[in-house]
Amino acid sequence: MNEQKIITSLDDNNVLLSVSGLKKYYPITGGLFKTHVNDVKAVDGISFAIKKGETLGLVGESGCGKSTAGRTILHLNKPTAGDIKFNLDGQMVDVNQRSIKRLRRHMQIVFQDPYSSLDPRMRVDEIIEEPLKAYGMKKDERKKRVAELLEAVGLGKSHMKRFPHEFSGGQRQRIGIARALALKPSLVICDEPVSALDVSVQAQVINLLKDLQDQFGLTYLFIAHDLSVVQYVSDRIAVMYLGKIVEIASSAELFLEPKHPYTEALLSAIPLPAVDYDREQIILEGDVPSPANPPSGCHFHTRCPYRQEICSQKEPSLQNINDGHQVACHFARELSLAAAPVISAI
Amino acid sequence: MTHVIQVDDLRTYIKTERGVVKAVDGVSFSVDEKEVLGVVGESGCGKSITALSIMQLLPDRFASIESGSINYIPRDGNASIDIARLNPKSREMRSIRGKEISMIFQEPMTSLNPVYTVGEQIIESLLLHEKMNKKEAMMRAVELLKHVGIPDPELRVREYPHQMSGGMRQRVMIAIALSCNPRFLIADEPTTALDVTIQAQILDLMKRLQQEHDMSIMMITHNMGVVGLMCDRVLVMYLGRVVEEAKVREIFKSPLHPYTLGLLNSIPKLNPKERKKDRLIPIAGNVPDPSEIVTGCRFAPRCPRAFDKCQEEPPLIEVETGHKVRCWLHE
Repeated sequence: MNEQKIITSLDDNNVLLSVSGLKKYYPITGGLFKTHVNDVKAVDGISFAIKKGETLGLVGESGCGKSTAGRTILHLNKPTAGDIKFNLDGQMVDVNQRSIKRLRRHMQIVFQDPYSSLDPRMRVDEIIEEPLKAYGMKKDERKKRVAELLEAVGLGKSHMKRFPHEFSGGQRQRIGIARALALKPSLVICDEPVSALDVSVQAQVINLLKDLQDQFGLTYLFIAHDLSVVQYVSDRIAVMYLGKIVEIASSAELFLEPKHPYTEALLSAIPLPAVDYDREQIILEGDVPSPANPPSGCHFHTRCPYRQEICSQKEPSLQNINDGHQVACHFARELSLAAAPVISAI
Repeated sequence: MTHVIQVDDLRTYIKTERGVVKAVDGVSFSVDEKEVLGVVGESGCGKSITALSIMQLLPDRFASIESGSINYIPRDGNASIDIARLNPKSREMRSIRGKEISMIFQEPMTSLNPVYTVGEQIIESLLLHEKMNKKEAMMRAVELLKHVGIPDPELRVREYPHQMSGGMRQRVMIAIALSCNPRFLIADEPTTALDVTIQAQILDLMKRLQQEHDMSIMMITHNMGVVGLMCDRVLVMYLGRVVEEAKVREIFKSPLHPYTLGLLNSIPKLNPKERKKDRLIPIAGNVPDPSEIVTGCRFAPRCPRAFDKCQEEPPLIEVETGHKVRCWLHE
């Protein structure tokens, strides 16, 4: 087994997945001979670890690279650089082109759009048993497993022979979840699993994901842009901006003591379902710059209300400022930033 | 307080292969001058069709206003005009649409025409309604772009929509909608397709413009947070009907309809201090297909508090001044 570099000593053997320096660049070609002129740096050197049984939220605006990061970890996109290691029975195994076939059954994904991520010509039982088939499970066992899975996600046997178009958005997402769980994975990457759903159905799917986590001891990487949802499901949260992680902390700490100006702005932009609450909204100027041509120095400096001269010249590195609280800002220790708005009276 | 628009018992039906869908089924409401009215509900509740009915922009082969009235009250104190009875293509309707009442759509990516520059799209309504020549209109377009916060408006006015970001395009849409100083603006999920920080920018802009122009806004959204931020009063719709109507403060403080309560309970609360989170309380079941015919209270099949009487449909009862609810629990 040469294909895997086995690293036995990692400081914490509770780590299920560790990612270091992960990059995913998409080349831009141009000119007469389609030469490589530049890169879209969708994911530009991110590092984090997820412990067994925890939920790590990954938030950011569109184009920040959060979905690309999720897909690259699973090798659905080939990484440009970086190391991904997965804890397989106590050993940290390198996730690469060759090991992925063996590892993928342990790491699965739930996609955002329940309308396009299910094959419209397959029946529900065929969709769910496809991964089981790929891993060579026998037919009668497969049938049993499909029934189990459908029950686990709150659907019945009567749904087995139907086609995806016969289901509502929420039910389709349940089918997608059943498919992801078919091979008993330990890590599930949830890529915006509820953002396409109606509010009342969103809550059903969030509850389901939580129940399944308790029942099967799952570990989630939960990618989303809705901060109230992320806050609700995550133990820790990483905030991304233009391909980089700018802050990572426990869910409570991130909301109560944000240390990065971008996090502060995101938190203050959450519209709360209430009228009487203290709010001083920070409204960022301008749009998110293009990841093909990110600003110099700190990527956020063009929109940052606290920017100083150094910010456009030197890129801040992600540094520990508190136990497990990492921030990439030159002034992380000096700035005193506002916590998330809290509803004072209901 | 004078009304700008008064809708009475509006019924808009859509013809589909599977029969007639009563998308809007007896909806009544009014919007006051300078008021922001929120219309909340999930997909299929009829909120967008209500808006398109007011604009007379329904696809006429499939959808039509069956009955009811939509009275627009002009600013000069002239007699009100029943939009529901106008021909969508008539001169009268065209003099209202885009001039007195305008609309912002959800998708800033698809609702602008890709083959015209944004300047050409802004001056379209100016040339139609304001008797300007092209040069004057272009100058006004530059002013409008500046007014909605687009940097370098002199250059941007010559650009095409694909050269702009989502937030910029939504600003252009707002500029088009405001070009003729409308009295009433319908905003159909104006920020749903946008990122949080851009959403904050656009809502802030709309609030400022509403105050500067003394406009009334009908804000269609599914996001209770947007309601809290923007609206004075709110209508909650479910399957083509208004189920609750109240001041925003009342809706959050004492929601009466089980559906409103369910919507509010479905949203995860921000309470980072609590480590162990309470379970969310979702609404059971799914949003029904609007083509299914439900007798009695439409929410009863999903309602945790349904009882015998719900087989009969409750009327919209005014419980307190300005707070109406369609539920037998509050008879």
